Order: sequence, then C-alpha cells, then structure tokens
Amino acid sequence: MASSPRSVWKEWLAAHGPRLLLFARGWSNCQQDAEDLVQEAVMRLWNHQADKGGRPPDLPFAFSTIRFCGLNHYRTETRRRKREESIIYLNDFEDVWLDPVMEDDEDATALRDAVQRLSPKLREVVVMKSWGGLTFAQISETLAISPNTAASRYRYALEQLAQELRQLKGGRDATA
Amino acid sequence: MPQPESIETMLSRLMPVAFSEEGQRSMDAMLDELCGGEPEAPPEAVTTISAGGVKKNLWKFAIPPAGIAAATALAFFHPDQTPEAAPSAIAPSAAVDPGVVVLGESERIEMLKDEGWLADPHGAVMQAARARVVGEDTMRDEETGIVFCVSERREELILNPITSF
Repeated sequence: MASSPRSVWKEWLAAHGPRLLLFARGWSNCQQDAEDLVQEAVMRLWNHQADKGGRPPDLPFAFSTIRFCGLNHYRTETRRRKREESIIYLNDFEDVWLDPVMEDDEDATALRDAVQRLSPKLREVVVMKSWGGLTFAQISETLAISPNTAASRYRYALEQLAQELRQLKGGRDATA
Repeated sequence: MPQPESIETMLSRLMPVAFSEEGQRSMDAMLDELCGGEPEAPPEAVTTISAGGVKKNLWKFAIPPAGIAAATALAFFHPDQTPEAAPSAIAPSAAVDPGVVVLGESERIEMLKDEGWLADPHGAVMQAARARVVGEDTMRDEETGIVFCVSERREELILNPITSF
C-alpha cells in the first residue's frame, strides 16, 4: 500500500511545517514572509526530490534549503533596502515565533522573546536542535560547520538565554 | 538561577507557530499544482494494489453503474476475468455504532485514468491505472429511524504486470 506524492508531502508538511516555519523566521520580517520562504523551499525540494523517487527530504536537507533560500532573499532584500532607505520594517507585536504551551507564564514568554533576540548564528542552532530534533552532526552538515562548533554555539545560546532570564528575574525582584 | 538543562526544559514548552490559514491554503494549492493541477479529494485513502489482489477489486468496482467507459477500460486490463457479484453486504461493520444498521454498501468508479507503464521496485514493467472510487454506505439510526448515506472517496493506483508485448 502506498500513498500518492501529494498525500505524502502534505503529511510531511503537517509534521514538520511549524519547525520549518520557525527556522524560516530567522530569515524573514514577518510570518507571511517566512511562509513564502518555506513555500519556495518546498518547491525547490519537490523538484530536487523528483529524481529520488519523489519522497519528501530528510529534515536536515529541508533546513539547509530554507537557509539557502533565506540567504538569497537576504541578498535581494539588502540590495532593495539600499535603494529604499526610507522604508522601516516593524514587527507586529502579536507576530510571535513561538507559542508558550502554558498561558500566563511570564518566564516562557520572556524566553520566547529572548530566543528571538539571539544572534542568527546561535538561534539557528537552537531552532534546529530544540525544535528540529537534529543532532549536532546533522546541524554541522546543514550549516557547514564542525560538530564542535555547533555544540559550542548551542551551549553558548543556552547560557545567554539563562542569563537573560536571570536579569529579568532580578529586575522583577527589585521592583517587588 | 536557570541552568542550561532547565532552559532546555523551558524551551520544550514553547511550540513553533503553525502556518496561517492563508499560508496553509497557499502551500496546499502549490502541492496540488505540482501534482498535476487537480485538487485532492476530501479525506481519502490512496491505495496501491498490485497484481493478484487487483482482479477481484476491479470487477467489484465495475459492477455498479460506473459507466461503460470504466468497464471497458477495466476489461482491457483483465480480459480473462469473469465478473463477481456486486458487493451488497448488509452486516454492519465493526466500526459502525451498535445503534446503527447498515442497509447497503456500494462502490463506484468515478474516474479511471490510464497512467501508462511503470516499473515496480524490482524492475518489472506494470500497466498503471488510477481509479477514483466512491464508496457509499446507507445506514439507519435505530433510535430515530433516520436513514442516512455516508460516502467516502479514495484513489487507487492499480498496477497490473505486463507479460506480453
């Protein structure tokens, strides 16, 4: 028994879409841009996988493709921005990358904001490790860095997040 | 003071945001287009039936008023087969609620399309045909006496080995 490529790809997207979207957010100004980026990556992946039986790709390769598309967009965007210096991009305050599972959790919300503020290099490792479930070896292949570098970036990112939360708690205690 | 381990636990409580409705629609439309332009039928099982099991099912689908074209096409794939009786099982299936009686079941082919030749994983040449089958179950709710019909569409890729050219 086999499913049609359409069903297989839709199931694959249902399973991995949100984490791909989260990764794409690192290359986008808003959710809509990120969705466009994922869509473009999926189209490239579709064409690429056609010679390989038409099956959806491994997750590391999907991350890699999104990164490639993101870099392309970044270059285009940078050129465009130079032409139109007057445009200022503002993020919608409700336009969040991650949803805290538990509502009214100040720490979770603060952590979400802290993840968004991480530098792109650190953030992409955290996203691939925490939500993509990739190993450091897979991350290293995706980013063309050594596994040790991937692990170091991850550790450094966690420390940075922990520090941000400490500062936030310190601030809360001071005002209480 | 949050430790890296506890930060990892906290991170796991954050869930990536899903696609927006518009984004999902756009993505589905793109996949539909990549698959040949036809939108996918509502929840359906896509089944591949190879060789042996095909013959029975083919005739089962050919019996109901599926149209002469479908029957002709099926005969092309299995000229040596004799039709079997149309399925009209009355016994309720295991999935049916005890208070519901199955009055009748039928299946018809809505569309049959020749997909040409395909090679199976072992390299054997197969004649492929894609059939869109609509299964309809007529049921009656014992409590209210209401008779209702449940229909399900599914797509089947029928593979038949080519033994002579």
